[in-house]
Amino acid sequence: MSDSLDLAFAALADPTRRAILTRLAEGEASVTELAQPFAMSQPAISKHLKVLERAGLVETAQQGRSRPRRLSPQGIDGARAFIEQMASYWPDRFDRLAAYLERSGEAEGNPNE
Amino acid sequence: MSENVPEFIITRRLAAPIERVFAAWAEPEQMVQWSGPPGAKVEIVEGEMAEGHSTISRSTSEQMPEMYTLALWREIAPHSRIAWEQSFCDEQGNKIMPPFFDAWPLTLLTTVDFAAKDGETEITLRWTPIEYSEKALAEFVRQMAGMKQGWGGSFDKLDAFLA
Repeated sequence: MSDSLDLAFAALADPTRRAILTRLAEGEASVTELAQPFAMSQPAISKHLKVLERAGLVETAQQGRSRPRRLSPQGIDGARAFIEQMASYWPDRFDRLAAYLERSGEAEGNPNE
Repeated sequence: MSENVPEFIITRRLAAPIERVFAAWAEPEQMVQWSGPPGAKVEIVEGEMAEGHSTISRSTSEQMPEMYTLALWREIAPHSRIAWEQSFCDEQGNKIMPPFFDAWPLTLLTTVDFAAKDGETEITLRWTPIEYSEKALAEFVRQMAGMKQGWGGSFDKLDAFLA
């Protein structure tokens, strides 16, 4: 799992690839359709799609000759489960703030303050 | 602050005097030490953390893609309140959806109130969607629903969406 997550997050480091995923979240699309909003050639988009496919985030549907791309539910679920932590966003940060205050308080010779 | 949307509210008491707690939020070199995602390194790459100014900060970590956050600092009132508009953004500061969220409020207003309590500090944080689709509002509530903390504001818009 962690290897595939590594690949997934590396794939996500690029804004074009994130935009492609956002577009695919609305429904499957052909390479031509995906290339449209970007000032990019189809080969350049295909290269991005390959990275996304290797990361297990995107798959190719076989529909005659059109071969539209779509989100791969499994890959997306793995990464989503990891990243969907908004509910703990502030509790996490408050915990680290408390730890930081404790650390910096001790550094100031100001324990438990 | 906003009458028409659900507002997420969370409070926390910290064992430090208000001056130190406020400084941990308001001084950039302190704030970056604790405010990023778990295990991430945060740095302000552009702008100034001052009222009416914006900052772009970057968080990097082993486990997560590089992420950028845009903040517009609305109010920085010493020992009292800090309020800012917060969005995920790209390197240039253009607001974006966070990775994997097809619906999340594009901009959230974060308001933190500081109160001194017997030498300690109570902070009350409110998270209010200010740029959002109805779908994003529903996702915001869904994500936060597991929290035992309170909600303020109004669910009118959401009720309308869910009806």
